Amino acid sequence: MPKEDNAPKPTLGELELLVVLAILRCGDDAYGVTITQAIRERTGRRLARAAVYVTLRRLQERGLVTSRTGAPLPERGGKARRYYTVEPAGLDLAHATQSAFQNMWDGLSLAPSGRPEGRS
Amino acid sequence: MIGRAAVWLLRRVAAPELADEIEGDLREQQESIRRTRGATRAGLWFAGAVLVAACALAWSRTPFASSGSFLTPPLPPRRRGLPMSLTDLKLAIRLVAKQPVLSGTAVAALAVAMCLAVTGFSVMNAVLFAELPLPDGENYVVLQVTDPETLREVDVPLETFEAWQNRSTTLAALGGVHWAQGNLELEDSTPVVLRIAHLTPEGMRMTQTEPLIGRIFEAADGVPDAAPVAILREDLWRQHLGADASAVGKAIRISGREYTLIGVMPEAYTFPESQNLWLPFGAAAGHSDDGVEAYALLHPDTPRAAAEAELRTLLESTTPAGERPLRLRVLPFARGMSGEGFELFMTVALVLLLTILAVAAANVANLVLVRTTARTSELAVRAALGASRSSLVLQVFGEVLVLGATAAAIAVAVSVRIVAWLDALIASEAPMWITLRVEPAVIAFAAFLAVFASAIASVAPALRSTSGSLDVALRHGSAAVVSPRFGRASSVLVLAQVALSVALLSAAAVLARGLVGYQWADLGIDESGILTASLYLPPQPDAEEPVMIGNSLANELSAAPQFSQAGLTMELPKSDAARRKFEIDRGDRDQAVDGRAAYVGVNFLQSLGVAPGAGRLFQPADHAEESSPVVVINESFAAHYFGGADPVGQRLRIAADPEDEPDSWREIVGVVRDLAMSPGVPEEGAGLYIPVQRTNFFHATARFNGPVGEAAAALRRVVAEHDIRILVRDIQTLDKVGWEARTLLRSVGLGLAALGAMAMALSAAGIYAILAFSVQQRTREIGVRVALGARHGQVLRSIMGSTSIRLAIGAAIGVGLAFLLARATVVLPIDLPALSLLDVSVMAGTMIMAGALAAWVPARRAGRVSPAEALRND
Repeated sequence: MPKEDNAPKPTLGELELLVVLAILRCGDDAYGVTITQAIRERTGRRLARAAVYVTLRRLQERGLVTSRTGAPLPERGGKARRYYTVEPAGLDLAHATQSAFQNMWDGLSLAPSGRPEGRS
Repeated sequence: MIGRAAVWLLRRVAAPELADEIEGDLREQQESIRRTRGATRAGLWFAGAVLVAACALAWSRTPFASSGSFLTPPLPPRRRGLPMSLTDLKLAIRLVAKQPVLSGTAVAALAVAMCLAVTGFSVMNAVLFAELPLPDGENYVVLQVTDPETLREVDVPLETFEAWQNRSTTLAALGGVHWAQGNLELEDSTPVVLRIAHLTPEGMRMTQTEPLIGRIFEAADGVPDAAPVAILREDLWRQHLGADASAVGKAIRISGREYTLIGVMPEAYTFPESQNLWLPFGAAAGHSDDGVEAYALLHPDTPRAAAEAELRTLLESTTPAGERPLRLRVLPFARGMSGEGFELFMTVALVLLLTILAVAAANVANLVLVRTTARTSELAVRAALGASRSSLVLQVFGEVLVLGATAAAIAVAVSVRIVAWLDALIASEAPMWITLRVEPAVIAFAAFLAVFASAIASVAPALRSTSGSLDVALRHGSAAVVSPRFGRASSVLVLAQVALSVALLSAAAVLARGLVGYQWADLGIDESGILTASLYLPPQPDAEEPVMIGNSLANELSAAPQFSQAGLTMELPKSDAARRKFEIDRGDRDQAVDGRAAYVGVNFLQSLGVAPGAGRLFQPADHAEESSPVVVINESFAAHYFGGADPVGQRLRIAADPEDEPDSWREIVGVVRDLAMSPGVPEEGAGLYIPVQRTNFFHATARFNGPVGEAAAALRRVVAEHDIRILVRDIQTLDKVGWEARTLLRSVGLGLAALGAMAMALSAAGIYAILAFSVQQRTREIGVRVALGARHGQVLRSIMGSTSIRLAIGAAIGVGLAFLLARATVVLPIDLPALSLLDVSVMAGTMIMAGALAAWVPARRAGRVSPAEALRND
């Protein structure tokens, strides 16, 4: 196997992963409001808005997500929405994170009390 | 305004593109909240959300909140981020803790003033700016119509009302109301007083509130010959009809008339104000010729100005030719229902309270000035290290903000308790939109007050302390930069606070003397054995002549086994009887005199157990229409105007205005003891009693046997049997009468005393602080003077001299202000004693002594300066 395949792959943090997945769920309508709503509806977590925006900026800085501005809207006081799209690099990283978690889960079966029943 | 401030803060801590994105997203959510919960709640939510986001961004210390963001080019330090770092905050707290007395005085003074302002704003916010707790509550308005000549509010003519109803495009719904009172007759107990609203059917339907059982009014309920129907509130239905669902459809009796109960509304529904029974407005209720008070529901997003313009056009179209049209204003519901008088009173009160806060903050500025002047060297070092003047000023502002924020927190905590007490006091009769509590808007107001007071208290002293050459300060210390003597600003501030304390404490003394009068007015009779009640017979729409309460009621009460004697009066003892002018017949001339007059029904004086000191009391015949006019005077009136002579048989009359018919001469038939006709000002209690035959308002006074509860029930029963339409309220024994006046005096007096004490404490603290600093700075000079032969006493006098002059001038101004403030107490609904020279002398003397003591401590220290030590330590 080539060396680069064995190099440890970076993964996304928990909040970063949630934001990336929320963007993918919202599709073309992924902006601050819908992203926050999607996370709340799917996970039941009420995130601080500032945390979501900071995470979006961080993902943009790493090139995992891009954004574009829409048209100004009167219900937003004339401000435009900023729509987000996941880049291929971001998608790869999301998959890598999913694989990492999946590998950790493989072979584990948690009883209702939370204690592992068996070990692989 | 709060939202704009929050957005300003957001733009200080976030890059422009990020700030735009956050603001846009939150505005989008604000719009959806506005559609469901109203504009006010949406606005508050938006402000809060922006503030939270801004604070989170600032304190997260991310590159996106300050310079270095990839979205903007790097900015020099101090151009972004909050003006105060955590280190500055720690230093500010440390500085405050180092001077506990000065800091405590400043915080206490600001807290008292802020508490009054916050409480006043809470009341104003709840009464004038609250929305109706109904769907579309923010769109309800009152259509206020006034007479163009008299400027008094009048009812909307029915023709105009119909024109608005049929032709308006800006109104989603229109309602009319006619107020009334009545008695709900009950089989097994005494009648219950009702607060009634006659509503137009659409006026009830627009509230979109379903009844618990039954139905609300329909159009058919208001037409001529319609069967009379009524809707009751849930609490009355449960308490008096056993929560019986079958009561709907059955008859109930209200003030002698029968109605069919058609529905029961939920207990929380008291629309439009604090109603517990609703009747339909219309011809069936005898409203054919009446006007109506109008209210409406605007279409969403319809500006009030647009509705006002349209309705005014329709109003003018229905005005008869040649008449001036009525004036129309479309007001938010709470404001319209509360009345202009209350709005004006609250606005004036709030402005006054904010002024008091500004004065307190300005006085705190005096203390801050001393403190910052002493730190001139430290400020010079900071300037040398690169701090701009504006950042130094901001630093001082931040330090004072610690005091202001502490004071605001204390003020809000105390205000919460006061507001809760007020809410409990008015809960049973408050209009449905009023719930007194400290709302988020009030917390935001308190935060604004903290910033406002801190700015006043810090900016001027900070600008002054950094105005000189800080380079010189670095080399020679603060004494070389800023004169430590009383500056002009400091003198004015000390003068102002001395004057304010004398004025406020003098006013408090007047209220205290009034309270003593009300508290301890001695009638010389057993007041706890006399039951009183107010009786009111409302106008009856279907009566051809005005209906009145007759004197026969007193005889019926006396016949009840629970009472040994009963009477009627229009004025109870221990309440201010009307001031009148009289003329006494002296034979060759008439003597004009002043006094009090109380109109009394039959057996009033007998029911109190009062015996005549001379002559006789009124007899039933004196109350007859054709009887000779007579009066009974009290002992003060007899002593004042008749001296030692027997007044019985003398004549007097009520002085009439020149354009009126003169009153008949009345014979004095008796003299009785004083019965507190002027409790607040006992020396003005000379007065007389005039018999009256009937009126629509009386107080009943009845000497009772047995438990007071039984006596009260018997009184209600006898009155109901006499005339079911008479409303009975305020049943209490005579010793409790006047509690409203006492409560008012106590609360206003305490408020004034607190403010006066605050002003006095600030004066003393300010004088002490300034003189202490002055002495410290002049140690070398004093040492030289003593070395040259000045005695300690001379040094003391030179330090105290200027202070004493300022104290005397301030006290003199305060005396003048006190007399002005005493005139302002006429707005209170009770009579108060006049401000006396003794009152102001005591207060002025107290203030001068407090100020002198505060000055004496540092001055004495100056007098003990050892020349050798002073010169050695230079």
